[in-house]
Amino acid sequence: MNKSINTFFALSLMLIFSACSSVQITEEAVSDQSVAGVSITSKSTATQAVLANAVVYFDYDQFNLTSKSIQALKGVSDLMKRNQKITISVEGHADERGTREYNLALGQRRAESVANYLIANGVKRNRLITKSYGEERPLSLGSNDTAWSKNRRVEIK
Amino acid sequence: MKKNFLLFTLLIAPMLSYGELFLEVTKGSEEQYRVAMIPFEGNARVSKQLNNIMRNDLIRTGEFSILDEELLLPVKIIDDELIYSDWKLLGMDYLVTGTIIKANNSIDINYEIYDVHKKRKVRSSKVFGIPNQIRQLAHYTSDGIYESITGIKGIAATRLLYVNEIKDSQRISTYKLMLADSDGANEKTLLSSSEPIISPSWSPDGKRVAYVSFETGMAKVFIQEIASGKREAVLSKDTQISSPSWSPDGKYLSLTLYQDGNAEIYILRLRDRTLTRMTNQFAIDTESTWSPKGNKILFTSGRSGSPQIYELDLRKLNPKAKRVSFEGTYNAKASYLPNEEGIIFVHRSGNGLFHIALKYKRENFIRILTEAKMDESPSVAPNGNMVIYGIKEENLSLLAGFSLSGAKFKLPASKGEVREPAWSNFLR
Amino acid sequence: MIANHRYIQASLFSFCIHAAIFLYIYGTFDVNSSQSLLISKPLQIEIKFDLPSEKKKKIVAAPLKVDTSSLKQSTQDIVYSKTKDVSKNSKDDAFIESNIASLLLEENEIKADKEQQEISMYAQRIISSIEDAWMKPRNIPGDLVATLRLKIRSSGRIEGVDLIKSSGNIRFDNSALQAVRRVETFNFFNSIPRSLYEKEFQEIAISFNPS
Repeated sequence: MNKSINTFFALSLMLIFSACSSVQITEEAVSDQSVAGVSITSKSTATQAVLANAVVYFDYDQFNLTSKSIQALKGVSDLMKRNQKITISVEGHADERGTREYNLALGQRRAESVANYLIANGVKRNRLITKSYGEERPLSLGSNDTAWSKNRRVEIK
Repeated sequence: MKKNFLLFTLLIAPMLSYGELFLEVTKGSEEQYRVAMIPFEGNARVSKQLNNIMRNDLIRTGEFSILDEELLLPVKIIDDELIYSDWKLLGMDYLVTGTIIKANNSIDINYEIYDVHKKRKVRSSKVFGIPNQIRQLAHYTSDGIYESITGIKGIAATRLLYVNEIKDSQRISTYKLMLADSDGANEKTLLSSSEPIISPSWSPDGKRVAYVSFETGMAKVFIQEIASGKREAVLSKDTQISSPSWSPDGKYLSLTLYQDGNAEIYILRLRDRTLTRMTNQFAIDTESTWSPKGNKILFTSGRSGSPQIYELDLRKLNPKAKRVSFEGTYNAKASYLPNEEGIIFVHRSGNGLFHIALKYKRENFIRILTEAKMDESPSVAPNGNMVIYGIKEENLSLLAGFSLSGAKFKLPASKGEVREPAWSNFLR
Repeated sequence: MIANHRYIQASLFSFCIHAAIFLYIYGTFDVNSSQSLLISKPLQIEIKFDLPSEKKKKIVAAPLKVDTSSLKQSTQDIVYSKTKDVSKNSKDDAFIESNIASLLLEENEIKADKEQQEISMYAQRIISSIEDAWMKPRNIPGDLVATLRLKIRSSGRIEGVDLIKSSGNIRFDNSALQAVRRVETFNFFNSIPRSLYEKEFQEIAISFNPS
């Protein structure tokens, strides 16, 4: 009787505890795929420079564009008009305060705000990919207002 | 004449009730069972290790005060009867003794619990161990002692999931999904990635875990089997998915999808991967979690202008979200207490600081339970008496916890930072 | 037919005689105990350390048709509190009528009041002992009430405890049971007169109500 209980316990414990395998993941270069019908082209340095400059910042808890952000985006919409083949990735971020999932959703709203502006300015939807990193990719690492304001942003790539 | 007799009989109908005095007590001090734990007989090294783990387990619950080892008296037995008077003098409520038994490759434990007030043994138990699992043996014993004395199931033998981030010299991060015992020991890596991992969630049977990984370049939910490491993306759709939460019967996963650009809550039936949409309005809806009976969902919504907690009754045909949090301008990441007596969530107070709060269903105010500045990610233990959450100290993230009865503890990372804890169900 | 009627009458009569005898033995007809029946209904005695609260009308009114009207309001709303002087209630209410019946009634009332004072004194001591031993759990919802029934020996040793009404919260219920367990014995029970002990203190109900 004891022995069978012993075996039972052993088996069930083994099932749960033994062999928790660890999975290694390596990163691959993720290319911009899937955007309907448009082929991927690597962006010229000049293009990249324009995009790098077009970082849009947001107020705490907000996802609406300010006049400053609209200024930043003018360059992008012009660029998109000039070069009809480019697709861009619009990536939203949030500062570290608050919960991670809500910040992920907030980053997405910010990305959508930027995307909607560009669409309203003639850019076709299928040239845009929007996504969010929430608070996972901060630019600035401090826990103060300066750092936080730098992290509440949308980057275009 | 007859009438009078009848009346007479009725008049003397007696109240045969019997004197019961009824008193009311309103005042008391703080709860703690006082327990003396005698190191178990047997191998001295094993005994010491077991004793340390059990003490730690019981003290962490906040409901026990364990007598200092230096104050322990020898156990006196005369004529097969334990002498209780010494322990009574020390103010003890219970005494625990035990023996370690060697069995093949492993160790078993016999333990006894004595009630000092009632002057009798109240429990005699045996725990079978398996090879190299002394910690688990100790946790099982702690839980047995806890349950015997409090009537509540113990959580020493439960486990935790959390995310560990380590930065190298170039500030490049490696993210790991970790699995550990409830006291942080026995760490195992379930996933190692160069991209962020968030929102780990336990399956109710403790065999699988769901989480969000950014490995494909955007947020996607994966389910992974703990024992085998087998993993799969939960949906093949090329859309962002996050915030996974398992239904109590393990058949559904509630998720947040961003299909139309806005975070909305869906329920995925795992059997055939069919999706049912649960929210449809312009604001953010996310952080869904199931009630213990599986008939309600709690979630965070920005529809009132700021993040607040809402509840959906799944039994209704067209469930309407009912708002549940009304204090303050930021309430998020709620989860139910296991008896549905209330909810635990993140609350931002007037000064902008984030704390873990508790709101009982029958009360209309909230109780703030933590004191740091940016407390986040609370997860409730399956017995409803403890909560683990994330805090930040000196710019580093670590885990902290508390029991409802007031005990506090910390679980710092051995390397780097830890956050996003998730407490498993009962696993025994 | 007539025989049946007679038979019924006779048995009814016989029943009444037997009932009367039984009740006499039980003590219903003693003037004293018919008044103490009022007291031995479940009383809710609250100990509040601040102000004596308003909601004192917790004494379940005895369905006695006898004598209730002549007893004053104060004896029905008895508040046993550490700050209030109980004797005040009864002494203030003096009967003014001079006929012998009411004097007798008065004498019985004073006896009853004295008894109530005694009961309240011991009740307070019981409550104190338990409050000293009660560890109230933290972070429990408000308005929880747990009720225990205690069986106590004449020596004061608590023989048995039962949870007769759960608060719905295990930690709270446990704390009540633990408090009683810790007390073990009410040492002052030796000073309770035997008859009073048997009437009132053999079995008591205690409710734990922190709000």
